[in-house]
Amino acid sequence: MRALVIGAGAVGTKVSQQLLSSNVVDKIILRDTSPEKLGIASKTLGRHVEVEHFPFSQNMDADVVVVASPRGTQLEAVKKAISLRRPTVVVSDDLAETVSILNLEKEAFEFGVPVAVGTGFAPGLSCVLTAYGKTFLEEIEEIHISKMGTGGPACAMVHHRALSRVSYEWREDKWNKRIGGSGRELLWFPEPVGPQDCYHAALSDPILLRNAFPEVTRISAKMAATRKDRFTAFFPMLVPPHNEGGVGAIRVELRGTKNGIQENIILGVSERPALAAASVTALTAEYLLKQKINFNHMSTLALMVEPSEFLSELTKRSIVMEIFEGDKTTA
Amino acid sequence: MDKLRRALAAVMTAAAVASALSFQKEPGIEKRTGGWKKISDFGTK
Repeated sequence: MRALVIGAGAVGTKVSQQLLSSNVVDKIILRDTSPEKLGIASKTLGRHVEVEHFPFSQNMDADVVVVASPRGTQLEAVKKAISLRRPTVVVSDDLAETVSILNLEKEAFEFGVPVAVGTGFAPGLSCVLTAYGKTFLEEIEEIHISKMGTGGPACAMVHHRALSRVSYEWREDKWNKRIGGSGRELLWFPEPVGPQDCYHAALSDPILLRNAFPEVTRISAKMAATRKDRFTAFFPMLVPPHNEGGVGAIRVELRGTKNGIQENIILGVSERPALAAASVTALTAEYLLKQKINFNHMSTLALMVEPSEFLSELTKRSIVMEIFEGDKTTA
Repeated sequence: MDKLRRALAAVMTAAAVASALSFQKEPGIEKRTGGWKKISDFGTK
């Protein structure tokens, strides 16, 4: 089995590393347009991975294509992969690009090509946690996602832009626009991240979750940010982003009913975002190769995989899932 | 003037402490305790 990983950034390199250790793939080709990134990746991965200095969407001779390239290059790569009928995994975290990729659903369906959209930390793990949280409830009414932290420089750029763009929130059968950086809410993430002020941001989670759970009346996504993040979001990024951010977190809150009683389920993960995104992406690629997916067309991870099994497999790869258990008492 | 300022600060501190204690003792105030717990079993075979 051959895997083509497009993008030798923080996520792409780690995906290659994880696919190498999975024994599902015989050969990995890591492709990027930047010779510097390929040089660093090649030092990290050794001779087991073939590096290619090639345009992103060219010659995709592989059994699975992993698209982990920067924002703005993913759509073309996915188009090409679908036309060549290659099972595809797209990390995809930029809102506009995710919408454009989802518009290729018809082509993927016609060609019978499985395409997993949003396989990072959030969206990605957030979608699987939502599907898992749903098993605790009889009916879900609301889904609220929040995230903190960034992976590599490409992820940091998306994070930076997201706070100055319009955020979309699903509320009572329509999309409501919210100004990025507004709607402060203090949310508790798993330790060591803890409490963080979170704001509306142009995140793609609500779009993907709306596709997966059309019956839900409210879906929102917020992002942790500082005052500096919110102020500088409207300007170009003057300081180059870090190679990889520190520990981040996601928090998934589901509100619904069980036995006629209102229930809240809160799930979370604290991990380095690039590492978690790479684990989710690599595992999705393995699922595609083993044909362990529910659909042979375009879908989100929430519908494509069996959540309990997927999360259980991620736990074996050192990604720790947590649940918030609160005791309601009256003093 | 300094004595007056100190007296005022003491009164304000005492008031803040008293209100915090009375808030804690107030019956019917809902408190939530708990925390994050690792999920080890996802119910898979």
